[in-house]
Amino acid sequence: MWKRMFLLTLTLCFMLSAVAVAMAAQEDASSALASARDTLVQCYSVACDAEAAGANITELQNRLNVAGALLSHAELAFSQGDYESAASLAFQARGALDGFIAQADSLRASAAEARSWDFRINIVGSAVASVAILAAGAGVWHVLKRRSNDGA
Amino acid sequence: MGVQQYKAGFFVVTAILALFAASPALQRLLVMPQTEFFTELWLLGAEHRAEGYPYNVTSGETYTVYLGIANHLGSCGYYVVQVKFRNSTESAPNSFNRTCSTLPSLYNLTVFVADKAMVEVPVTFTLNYSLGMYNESLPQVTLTGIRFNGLMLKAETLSVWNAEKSEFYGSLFFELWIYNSTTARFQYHERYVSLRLNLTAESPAPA
Repeated sequence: MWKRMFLLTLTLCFMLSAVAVAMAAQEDASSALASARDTLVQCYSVACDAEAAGANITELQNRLNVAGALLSHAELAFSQGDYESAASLAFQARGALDGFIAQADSLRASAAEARSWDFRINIVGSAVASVAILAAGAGVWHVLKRRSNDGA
Repeated sequence: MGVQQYKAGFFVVTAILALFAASPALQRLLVMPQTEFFTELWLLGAEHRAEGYPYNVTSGETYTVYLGIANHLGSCGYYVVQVKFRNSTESAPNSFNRTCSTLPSLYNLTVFVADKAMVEVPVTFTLNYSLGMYNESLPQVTLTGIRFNGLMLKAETLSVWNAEKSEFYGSLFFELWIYNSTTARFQYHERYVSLRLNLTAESPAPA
């Protein structure tokens, strides 16, 4: 009788611990996925800021697509109950974006500087040159007119 | 008379030179603003052309198409392409009502596209199905799964024989969803592309 009770308790404990382990794995994978999604959104946002500043974000786009593909695989693994792979792929997706924000910020700063120079040279420079040409033209005309009048 | 006779010519030449010098500034100031913001979504056949799409497919055979997305939204886009499969009676996306299919997504392709850029994703798929009988006279195919870009997707549906069109109808379609930063959610971007398929049997189809 006691032996039977002991075996039943042992089996129950084993089953409960297996369920607890499975639930913990699911929770771990779920939080890894949420974290990867948040990282992706954050990186997307800084990439958009860099683009708005005039940066060429092709490289950032490629990195985001690599991380996005890993996240898609992770979500599929999660939906199929493969929580270990899901957590691992989500972790890889986050890893693929290491240093992304610094890279985007650097590109944004470079683009802002380039845009500032572009404004100085192309907008201010060409406007000043245009006014200078008009002023020079008027000056030359004035001199030519005076010489012509003096000659007559 | 003197230089007076050249006055008009002189000032025209000066004005042209001034305009030429001002052209970099004018180029930036006189650009027409972008008024249409949209995303292009397309599907190309295996030869990278808008032809040669797979139609008569066989169970276990692998087919390739190319899915393209071009962004003209004025800023980079974060897209998800939901991959779905339906038979002739299941929910389909609707271009007129601009609604998506209510079927669950089999797989989500995550794609980021910079403004004025495009991304093309090669798509390989293999349908696994078997031929059976829906009833005594009507044959059917039962889809058991789709291998999509090397990943096994669960897709369980059946397609009964359509005698009028001589096909076991199946449609693999791709719905475009976009991330909305304001709501922090994905929303249907009112675009989809689809592949009409005839799930051919190994044995000749019944007449």
